[in-house]
Amino acid sequence: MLALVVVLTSGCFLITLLGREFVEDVSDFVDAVFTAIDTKATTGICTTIVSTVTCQYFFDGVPVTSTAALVSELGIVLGPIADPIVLEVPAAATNIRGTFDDGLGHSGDLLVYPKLAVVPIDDTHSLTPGTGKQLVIVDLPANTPLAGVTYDYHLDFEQRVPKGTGPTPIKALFTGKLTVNGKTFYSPMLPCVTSFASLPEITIPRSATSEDLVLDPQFLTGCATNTHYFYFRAESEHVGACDLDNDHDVDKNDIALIMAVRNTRAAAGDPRDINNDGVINANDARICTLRCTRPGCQA
Amino acid sequence: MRRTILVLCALLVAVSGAEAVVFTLDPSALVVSPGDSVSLDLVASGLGGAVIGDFDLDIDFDPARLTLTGFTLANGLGDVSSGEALDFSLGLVVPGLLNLAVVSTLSEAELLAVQSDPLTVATLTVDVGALGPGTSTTVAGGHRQRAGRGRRRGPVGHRAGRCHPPCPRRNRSGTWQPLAGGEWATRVRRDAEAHPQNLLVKWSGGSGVAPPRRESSP
Repeated sequence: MLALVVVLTSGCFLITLLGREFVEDVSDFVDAVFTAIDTKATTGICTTIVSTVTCQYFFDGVPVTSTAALVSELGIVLGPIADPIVLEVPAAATNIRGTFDDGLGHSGDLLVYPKLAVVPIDDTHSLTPGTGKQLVIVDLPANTPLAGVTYDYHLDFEQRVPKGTGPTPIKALFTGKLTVNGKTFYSPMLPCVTSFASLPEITIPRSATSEDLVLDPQFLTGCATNTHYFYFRAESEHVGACDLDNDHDVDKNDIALIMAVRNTRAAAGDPRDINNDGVINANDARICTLRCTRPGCQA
Repeated sequence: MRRTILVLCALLVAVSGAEAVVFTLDPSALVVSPGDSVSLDLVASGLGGAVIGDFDLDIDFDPARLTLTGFTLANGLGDVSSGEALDFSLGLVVPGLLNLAVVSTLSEAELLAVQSDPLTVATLTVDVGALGPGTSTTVAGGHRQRAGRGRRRGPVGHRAGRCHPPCPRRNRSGTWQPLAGGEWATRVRRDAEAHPQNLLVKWSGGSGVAPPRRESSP
């Protein structure tokens, strides 16, 4: 049997967090513009050997190792394992955007997929946002150099909040990205949890100047060597891409996830931009209704 | 509307010789009195053998003069109640802005069997409110812009993927902003591809008054 070994390395996100916020009063509400996260990568390497992905993160000099097995029907993982971040931010957050820059000529806009209600982990697990929250995937564009590169990341979002609102809590999860049969999964790597409810909050203080946000490594537990994520989906690529709620069918619930964000610009790879034309709209929904696996697309 | 346009463009590519599909309100003009209830059909035409698989339309009107009392989706994209089509209409988004959105679950062959040309996709009913003698108001197909950096949607029946006429500016609160009907109507008239879909509602009373003044006339 031919043993296929895939070894890839990538830079990692989010080592140092800096939060900054500008506040401007508008009648009873405050237009709060957050510089939600300024991230600076220091050192981080993810390596995939056969079906095991290992990531080494450093937080203020404290190393955190995370290892998980990504098990597919072939017993091996094909394709690169990047390390996008999944964020949980307030549902009202808008204009979420980010940039990356290594200071050496590699820079650009990060891919941002906002207002996600479901982020698939594997065949039987998904990430979902808490009440009043949304999930956001932040990723590097395809073909961005990863090996031996250190990037600075900058992520902004805006939110309208009542005057006097306290600090904004967010949550962040490092993941491994894996595409199986045209469907992309995000396996948690750090912290090693399958629910955002288990994640510690990162608080963005209200301040007119940048402030350091300290992540306590003791809350950043990596996956143990016996952590497994399973990918044995039988759906074809044709159907799988439309199974946006990751419940192994395509029905009106999946269509609703597209229509909930219709007429919005989509970054490349956004799972709801089915026809990859850069905008999420009813045409994407129409494509998926033709792939419904249930009569009348009913749930 | 943008999504409709996109679909139609695809159909134009796929169906040789197909005409540009346009949406209009029927009737295009009515003479009414305050207190009247008016029924308007939203009609797609120019299908040219193609089908409409989805649409997402905004319809603007002056809420100070007209009150939407209801709308009914036709079965042109399939029967919503039987799952042949999914209704994602937002309804009255803000006073004066109605959104209608339907996605069919039928195959193209099935749609061909149920769609005619022209095709009524919805019927609106509005009550006429304050409308002074000799004045008029306009109901128009519009477009909207999402808060922030949302995508723009072109007017009904236009091929381009950008706003033409230009998209309205978002108001301060970030909510939908009804279109200025005059700007829309004027520019529509210039566009050979787009058909005006304005309903001119005139108040019929007040004999001997000056000729009707169109507030937002094409």
